[in-house]
Order: sequence, then C-alpha cells, then structure tokens
Amino acid sequence: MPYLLTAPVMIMLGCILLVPSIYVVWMSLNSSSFGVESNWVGLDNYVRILSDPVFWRSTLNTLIVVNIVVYVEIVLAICLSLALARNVIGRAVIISIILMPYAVSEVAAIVMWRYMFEPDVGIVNYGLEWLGLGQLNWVVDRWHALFLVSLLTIWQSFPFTFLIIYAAVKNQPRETIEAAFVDGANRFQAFFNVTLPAIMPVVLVAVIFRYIFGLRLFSEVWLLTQGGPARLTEVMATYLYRYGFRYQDFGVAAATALIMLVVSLAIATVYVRWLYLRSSKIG
Amino acid sequence: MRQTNRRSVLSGMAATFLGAPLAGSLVTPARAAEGDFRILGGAVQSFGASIAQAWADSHNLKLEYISLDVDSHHTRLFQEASLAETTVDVSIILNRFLSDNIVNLFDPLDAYQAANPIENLDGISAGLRQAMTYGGKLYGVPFRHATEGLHMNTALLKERGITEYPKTFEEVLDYAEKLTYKRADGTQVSGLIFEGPTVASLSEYYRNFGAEFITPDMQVKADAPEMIAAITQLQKFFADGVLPKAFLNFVPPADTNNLMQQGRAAMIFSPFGRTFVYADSKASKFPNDMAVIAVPPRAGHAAPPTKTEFWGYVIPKNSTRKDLAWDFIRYMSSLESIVQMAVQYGNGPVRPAAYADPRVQKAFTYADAEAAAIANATPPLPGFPQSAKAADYFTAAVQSVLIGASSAEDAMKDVASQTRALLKQ
Repeated sequence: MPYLLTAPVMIMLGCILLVPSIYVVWMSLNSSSFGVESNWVGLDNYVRILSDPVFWRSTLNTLIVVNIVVYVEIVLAICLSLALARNVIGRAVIISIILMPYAVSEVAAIVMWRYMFEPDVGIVNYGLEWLGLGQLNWVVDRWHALFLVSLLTIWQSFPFTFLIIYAAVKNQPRETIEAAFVDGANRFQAFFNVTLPAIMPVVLVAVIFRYIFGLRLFSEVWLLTQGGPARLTEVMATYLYRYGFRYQDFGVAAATALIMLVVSLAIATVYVRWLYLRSSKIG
Repeated sequence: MRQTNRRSVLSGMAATFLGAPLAGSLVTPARAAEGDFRILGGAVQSFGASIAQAWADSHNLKLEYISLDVDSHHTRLFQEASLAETTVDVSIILNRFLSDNIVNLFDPLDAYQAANPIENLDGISAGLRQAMTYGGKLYGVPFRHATEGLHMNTALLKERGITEYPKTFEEVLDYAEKLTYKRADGTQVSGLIFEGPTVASLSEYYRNFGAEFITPDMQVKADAPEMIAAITQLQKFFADGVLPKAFLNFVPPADTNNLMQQGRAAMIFSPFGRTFVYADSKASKFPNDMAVIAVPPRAGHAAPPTKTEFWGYVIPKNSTRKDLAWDFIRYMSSLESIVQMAVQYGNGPVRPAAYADPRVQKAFTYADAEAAAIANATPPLPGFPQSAKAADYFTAAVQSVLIGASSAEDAMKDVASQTRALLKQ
C-alpha cells in the first residue's frame, strides 16, 4: 500500500529527473546534432573536452570567480549580520537596500552594469579615470573582466547569502554571548569561540548553495563578454552553451554538463561531509 | 556503427516509465486550430505583415507568428523540424544556418516549383538562390537581404573639412583616421566602426583587401597575405582609437546604432537599410546628415563580392500543410509582394527588378547603389555544418590580435589550421 500511494510522485520524479538524466548520459556518448542521425562515439566527447585547453581555462575561470564570490559574500554577510544584529539606527532601511539587487531582473541588471562600465563613456569608468585610478579595462583584459564578473555576481547574489546568515546570527541565544563576556572573553574571542561555531552549520549550508549556484555562472559572463576577448573569460556554462546552442553539438554539450555535475558533486561532498562531521561532534 | 535515433531512445525511456500511450503523446505536438497558419519568423511580420495578411484573408486563415531572436529562432525551428510532426506551416531561415546536415530537415522545393511555379523564380538574385541550393536542390526561397554599404555622417565629414565621399577603399581608410577626433563638445568620434570583430561584420572590409576567409569552393584562405594585411590594419585602427575599445564586444546592432545616432562614430560598414535607423529623428542627433554608398573598391581593382546576409522561406519536412505553405511562399516572393515589402517596410528586395520600380526608387535614395551591390553579393561564409565554429575561431583570433596577445600572422595561421582541421571532420 505505501508503495502504491507514493507511486505517482515516484513516477513524476522519474519523468522529471531520471529520464532526462539518462538521456543526457546517453547523449554524451553520442555524436548528435540536428538533421543527422546520432552516432555512438563512446568516450570521444569526454576526450575532446578534456584535451581542449579552452575547457581547462573555462574551468579555472569558473573556480576563480566562484571562490572569490563565495568567500567574499560569506565574510561580508557575517560582518554585516553582526553589525545589524544590534540595534542599529535605520536597520530596516539598510536591510532593504541590501536586498534590493534581488528584486532587479538579472538580465536588466547585467545590461545596466555593462553600460555603467562601458570603456569609452561608462559613468563608472569615467569616475575612476577622474579620480586618477585609471580604467577597468574589462573588454581587453581577462583579469579585469573576471574581476567585474565577480563584483557583479556578488552584488546580485549577496542578498541570498546575507539573509541566511543574518537569520542564524539573530537566532543565536543572547545568553551564550553574555556568558562568554562574564567569563572574561573580549569581542573577538566571543565571536571566534561562541558566535562563529554556533552559526557555522548555516554558513556551510550557504557555502554549499552558493558553490552550486556559482558553478552554473552564465548570464553575467555571456551578457558582459560572451567569453571574450579571445575566449579568455569563458566559464564552464558558457562553454556548454556554445557547444549546445551555437554549434548544436549536443554530444559535447551533454558531456560538459556531466563534467560540471561531477565537479559540483565533488565540492558539495567535501562541505556536506564537513557539515556531517561537525554535527556528529556537537551531537 | 549502429545508428540510434534520439527520439527512439526518449520514447523508449518514457514508455518504460509511463506506458506506451502516454509516451506517444510526449512526442506528438498539439495541433493548431484549423483556421490558423503558423509562421515561425518574426521578420515576416516585421517586414511584410500586411502582405502576408492579404494572402491569409484570401484563404480565410488567421496568421499566427512565432517571433524569437535569431539564435532562439533557429533552435526552435530545428527542434520543431526534428519532431514526428510540427504545427509550424512555414518558417524562415537565415542563410548562415543552412548546411548539408540541416537541409535534411526541410523539403526540397523543386517539385513544388515544377507543379505550381513561383513567377520568374530566376528573377531572384542568383547568388542568393545558389546559397540555398544543396546537392542541386533548392531548399529555401530568399525573401529579404541585408547587403552592406558604407554609411557616413556628413556633418562630421564637413567638420573635418571632407567635402567628397571616398572614391577608393584607400580613401575610406584615410578618412577613417581623419575622422577620429574630439568634437568641440568633447565627444570622442571613432572614424570607422564595424558591428563587431566577427566574420559577418568584417567580411566586407577584408574582401576589399583582396582577402577571403573560406572561398565558396571551401578553400581556407585565412592565412593569406591579404588577410594578414587587413587584420594588421585593423590592429592599427584599434591601437590608434579609430575603433573604440568597446568594439571588442559590441552587441550589434544596438551598440553601433547608438554610436552612429549620437555622432560618436563617423562611418560604419553595415546593411544599407540601416540608414533609416541612423537617421531616425526620434533617436538620432543627426537625422538629416546620414548618407550611404556602396563600399568603393581599391584603386585599380574591380569591386569584390559585396557581403550580404538574407532570410529565406523553408517548409519543414514534417509539416502537414505543405501545399498551403508553398502557396504562401509563391505569393510572398512575387515581384509585387517584394516591391510592397520594400516600400512599406524598408525590406531589402531580393529581386533586382524591384529596384527599377518607381515606388522603390522613391522610397530608397540608395536604390541604385544597393541594386549594384546585390548583383555581386555573396554571404560571408559558405554554408557548412561547422560554420559557427569556424566563425568563432575567426572572432577569437581577431580579438587576440587586437588585445596584443598575438600577432596577425600567428593568429590567422592558427585560424587557418584550425579551420582546415574542422573541414576534414
């Protein structure tokens, strides 16, 4: 009886998750495009990807941006959450301002940033030049472009990280901090020995989510640079998109998707394991 | 090697989970209403809505347009055409998306032409028809083209003391440098721009150096001295500020339209019809100062083939009302419809005879120049399955030269060897 009752959900999950997953695995082992029959090529697509220097550069770019984004967001979110957990004047307004980017359409925001940082007449670049700081040469320089992508991604997704961590900080019992102060701890000792361990499980959850979302980084790069100049700012998702939708080479695109999945799982596993060990220790 | 069909695998898996009846419904699209005629292609609506509507009215049909941006349009078209059956009756396709593989998704049109001919099909430019012919069979009927000319902001020319349009390509390059300056109001002007560092945007430029990326007989010429000279000159323009920095990742045509309208660029290679956009009084600071001419050839040389891109009608192999679709194509590609689309919507007429029509002569100040250009026009690349990849190799190489990461010789040598390897696959 229980199997019968859960059968509709299981069938639905099978259709939504399992069938497409099997299909993607099958497609990654084939040469497949519009207008031609698929050909079984075994692991050739994987060999092609793994021997393509652009793929490795895309992977490196993805990891650089994701690591910058995740850790800057976490540190900023912890700092701001601690500051705002107190009775700060204008707290509601500040929190509203922090959350604002989440209400802006992603594409609209990126286009807006693109025009603000336009190298010839963009207002931000103009301002930087006026201040004698030089320009952010993101259309020419790979590192400047990745820096801009990181900055934009942080601006867009910071509200998510902030909300999770702010909730954890606010839920921490006041008594534990007061007890630490009674025992002679200063503010830093109270933070590192009491607050941080208490919110760490939530921080790890935020890290896992942001890593997984971050590895799918696409629109920021595609709409700003399209992976250029000279494919120097390509990330894994733009690499996949290029093969899937520009070249219609679905075998390589599917294999890229599976490699991305493996990388995401590997990173998530490390953090989930860490989270599990911490919980076991505390338990 | 065993041939496997994607749909058979999908259906098999779906059948495993859902049972055969439901699996069948997964791959059969919903049927459109009987009185609807579905056209995949917003360009038909944008450049011929009233003409298409007249045809629909005569057949008591309601037109249903599916409008998407260029890449999404073709993805949708190929997906629709890969199904067991599609409700799309007729679609349009951009020349560069057609290839030996893709034509398998469409009906050859020769049998329809034999049974119920389009009036004077040979009156459509031969170069355009040829680009939609594969294995001796016609798969698409061209209906609008965008052929490149040289646009100039005459107010900026006057500011620099230039009183005549360039007569040779060498003069174009010379003007480009003279027109790179700062105006009295502080606006930095770029002397000559293109819509991006792509094959599609640069082919008119490099052809005037005597260069070609891939010839119609599939010879790769990217590493020829003429191409290296063209890219070296481009690098100089970029370094000297003739091209703005943003050129590296222009979003066409929005960015370049803006530059021309605001007087931040003095000249551009782009389709003739764009002059209406540059001179649009609602957006342009120079509504009365835009001129367009055919790109002048090098001194002592004949004009190379002009770069053109064009849309054509196709009938998906799996559509169900093919005779009706053919009737639509016949109507829309007649000389009168082509003239109407040109006059009413500024559509580039694919029939050279349309340019002689007084209505077109009156509507287009550049009619004679465009007529001469289209008579000798070809697409930037021949259609082949890996053309998008070859085009990306080219773009990456040009960008790499412009940012100083590699020399023109090395970059174009790389492109040539990559593309030759691609063509062997």
